[in-house]
Amino acid sequence: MRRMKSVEEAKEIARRATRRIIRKTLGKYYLLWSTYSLVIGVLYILTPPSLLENPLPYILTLIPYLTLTSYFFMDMGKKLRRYKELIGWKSRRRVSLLIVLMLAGFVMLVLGHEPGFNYLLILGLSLYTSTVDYYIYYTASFARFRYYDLLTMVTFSISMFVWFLPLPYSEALYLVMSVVWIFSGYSSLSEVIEDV
Amino acid sequence: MERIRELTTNPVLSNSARLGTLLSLYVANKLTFSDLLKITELPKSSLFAHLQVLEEAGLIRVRKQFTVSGPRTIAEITDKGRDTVKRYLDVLKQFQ
Repeated sequence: MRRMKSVEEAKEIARRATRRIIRKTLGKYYLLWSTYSLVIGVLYILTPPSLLENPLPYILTLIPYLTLTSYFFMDMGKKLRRYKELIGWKSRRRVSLLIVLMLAGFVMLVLGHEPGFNYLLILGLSLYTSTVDYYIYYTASFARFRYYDLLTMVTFSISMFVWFLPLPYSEALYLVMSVVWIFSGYSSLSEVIEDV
Repeated sequence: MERIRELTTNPVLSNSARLGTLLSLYVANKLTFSDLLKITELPKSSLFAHLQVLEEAGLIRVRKQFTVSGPRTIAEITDKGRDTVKRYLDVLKQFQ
């Protein structure tokens, strides 16, 4: 009995460690993507008018962001798997399914971006944003889901739709997204630095 | 049965803070001393003593490392430590 209590206390320490690791990763992820619309804005200003229609600079800008995001989430995924081993929770299939749906959404998004594929674009946008949002929710729930996680999810979804569909006030919305993500990143990191 | 007895009576793992530190390192692979202080909520001297016991048993490795925020003490789990946790988890599953 005493031994089981000691094991439970030890698991509680491991839970705090996991919470800390996840919150730190989410903080870095939020701060990373908070700079994206600003970088794109600067790129847009610096690009000569004749090249504005060329999507290559925007695609190239995405590469470091996607590389770092993959690194953050793969590293965190490994740690979460080990934590789930500790608490005896098996949910690998659910995460794999989520990643497959996310990639399917992304492919639909790219294919549907061509003129005349609006249904595919909307389907891709909906699938991609909802799976990314769910993944943020799923991950953040291991680190106590906070209101700023919700804010990032909402602003991410809105900015994705604004990016692909012609909606008014898009520049202002990107600015709002950046500010919200800076706030969420800062809040996440200060949570880890100040308390556990 | 012998293996179960050996693990559950192992003095290195008999303390919850020490076991918790090892489990945390199993999850994270490596953590800084200040991270461990916040996670375990132990005083510095106690944490240092626990880390020493774990290091002497070959379950973790403690080293100084230079980072962008200055020199840091890092605790890292060893292969032996990882195997011990896996065996410990197997034993727990059998008990439950």
